[in-house]
Amino acid sequence: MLRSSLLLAALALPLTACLYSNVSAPLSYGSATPGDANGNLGAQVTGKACNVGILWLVAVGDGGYEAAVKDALSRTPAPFLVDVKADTDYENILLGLYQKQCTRVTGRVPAGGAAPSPAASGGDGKP
Amino acid sequence: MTRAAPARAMLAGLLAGLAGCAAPTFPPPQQSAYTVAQLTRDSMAYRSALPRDAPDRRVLTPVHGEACASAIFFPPSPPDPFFGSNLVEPYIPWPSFSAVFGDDGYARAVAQAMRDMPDARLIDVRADVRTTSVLGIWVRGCVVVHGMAAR
Repeated sequence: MLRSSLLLAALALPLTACLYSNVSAPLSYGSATPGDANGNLGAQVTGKACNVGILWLVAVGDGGYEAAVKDALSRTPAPFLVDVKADTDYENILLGLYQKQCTRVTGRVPAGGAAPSPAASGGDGKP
Repeated sequence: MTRAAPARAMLAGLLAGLAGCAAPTFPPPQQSAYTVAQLTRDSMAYRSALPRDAPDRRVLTPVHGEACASAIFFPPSPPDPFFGSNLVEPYIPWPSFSAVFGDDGYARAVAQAMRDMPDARLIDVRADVRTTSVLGIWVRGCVVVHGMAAR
């Protein structure tokens, strides 16, 4: 019985973490302020980006600021967001059998000519 | 050994399993008695430029850069439970030895983002941490910086 207990404990060792995770989490965002848009604020937009964990075994997703901001800016040609609020949504079902964490950013776009559109610059500049 | 021993062992195994899939914090916890080696440079603070800091901007180019560090844990690191609770972690009975190497600081990530435009100014900066973990033994954490290069 002692041997089986030790064996079970040894088998449990590698279970202390999930099989695989590849997630992004927000770290910092030096967002623009209304002064950066000369006080001209346009429409409010919202973007969301999520990480998902399933069965305690796998966690994947891109729940960082960049994905959330990209989602928000996909609805507008504006180059950046102004007056940004960032929140986190959690969903946790059955002790974590299914878990979802989303970063949600809400902000305003600069109205009329506060900055040139990145599309006008040509190239995406990705390294 | 009592009859309860196997049940306790199973409970320990179950609790260990419940530590499960986590978003392991990276950079890893600061040096502890179980850190065999640590040679890292980690991100701490970055007060990035704002659009107003590049008032004569005529060209905005999206750029990104990243800086990474890697860690090895054994036994596997008991990471923070994925979202919310730290209920399980105190019950895992073994320490985790670790070795951590790399430069995942802001300076390197920003330098990589601006390497093609060293004279431009990086504005509207978003920074994320991308963590990849396999079995909780190998963990790689990258600080990923996105922004606009203004010229």
